Amino acid sequence: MELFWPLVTVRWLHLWSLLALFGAALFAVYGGPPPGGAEALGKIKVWLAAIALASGVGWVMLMLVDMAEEVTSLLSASSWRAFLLATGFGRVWLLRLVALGALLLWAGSRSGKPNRWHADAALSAALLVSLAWVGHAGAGEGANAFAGMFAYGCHVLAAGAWLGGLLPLSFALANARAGGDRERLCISLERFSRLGQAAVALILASGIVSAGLNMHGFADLGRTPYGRVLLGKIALFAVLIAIAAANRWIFLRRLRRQAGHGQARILAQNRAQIWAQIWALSRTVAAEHVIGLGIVALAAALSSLAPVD
Amino acid sequence: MIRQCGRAGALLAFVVLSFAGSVQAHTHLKKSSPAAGATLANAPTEIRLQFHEAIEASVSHVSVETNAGQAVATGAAASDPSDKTALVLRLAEPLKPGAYKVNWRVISADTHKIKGSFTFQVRP
Repeated sequence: MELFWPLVTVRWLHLWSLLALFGAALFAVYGGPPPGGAEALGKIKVWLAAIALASGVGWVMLMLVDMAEEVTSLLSASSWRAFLLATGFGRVWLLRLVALGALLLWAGSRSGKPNRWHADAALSAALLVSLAWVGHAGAGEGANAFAGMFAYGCHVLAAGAWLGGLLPLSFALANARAGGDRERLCISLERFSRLGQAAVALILASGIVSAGLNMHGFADLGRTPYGRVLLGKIALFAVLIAIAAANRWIFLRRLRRQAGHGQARILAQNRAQIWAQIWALSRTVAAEHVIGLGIVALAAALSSLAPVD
Repeated sequence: MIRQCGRAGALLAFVVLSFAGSVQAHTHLKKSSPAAGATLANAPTEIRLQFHEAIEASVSHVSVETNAGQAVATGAAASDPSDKTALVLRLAEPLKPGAYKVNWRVISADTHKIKGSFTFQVRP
């Protein structure tokens, strides 16, 4: 029974929903909720928590069928017992499923009330890092296992801080396009950009350490399916960095310069230039979203492949 | 800044991937007893599979069949309490002379499945 693609799909949904939830919550913690988007983000948060739980349940069910090679194992209490209670990854998954349920209940219970973004960020961060115990990183022993899990934890948290922050940033940009406070937009963009630079460095360093632990060397990059998917992920990441650099060093700098002239000097021509920069930023943030989804899909494929032959 | 990050990343990648030797993740069958293709003078009482890394015995499966495809009576595959990388299958009865095939399917600690088979013979 070939379950590779269904497993990649649920892994992708699970990883993406948790990354988005963590990054959006973190954005609200360090920069405040996006202007004009706090309520919408609160609703999206519930959906993301629901997707994380549903994909988590789907992931566990697919793993059970894949391991037993029988669909009927889903109806067998002894199969579930052996999977969830007698294996290391099963016990981690049991805790994760409880935490995913708690995340959804928590997110749902805050509907219509002020959001507690710290709690959302902490719970989604714990769920992201716990994936280290049910993947390649958790298979090592001793110092290798510690290094692998530490690198994985840094990698997913940095990726979440960046990719997940794109959603509230889109709300802030939409608000500015509708005539909202552009000074606040500049502050949000600068904070996000500073965090993004740190995230890039952490993603790069932790990704290299993980690759070093999982592969024999450079030769594996072109030789194995794992290496080729990793090369694709690195290529997409390079494009993402180039777009982020353009945002930081070209569009944001121009916007800052044009919006910083003071209200009295914002003439019609200047307004048009600000408008153009906001639109340019909106487009590049949307492009970052799409590329980010692609990178997460490749990460999901990597976790389903054998790093070495 | 970007250039410095790129240089540091390239240097780190070069160092880590050049010296990457002890690869973790994804186990493989290291050896077995009886060994693949072996011809034994004495019938074995158990099948022992040794992997590179820890495996999860409760969701792993090993079976033995005769040359004619008939299943041989065994207990359930269990891990060796002193060695998490070993999987042991006790045979219910000593094997009669003939050719046998061992089919195995194991789940490693990173949840991945690997499987394979090998044959051996018991001499009359």
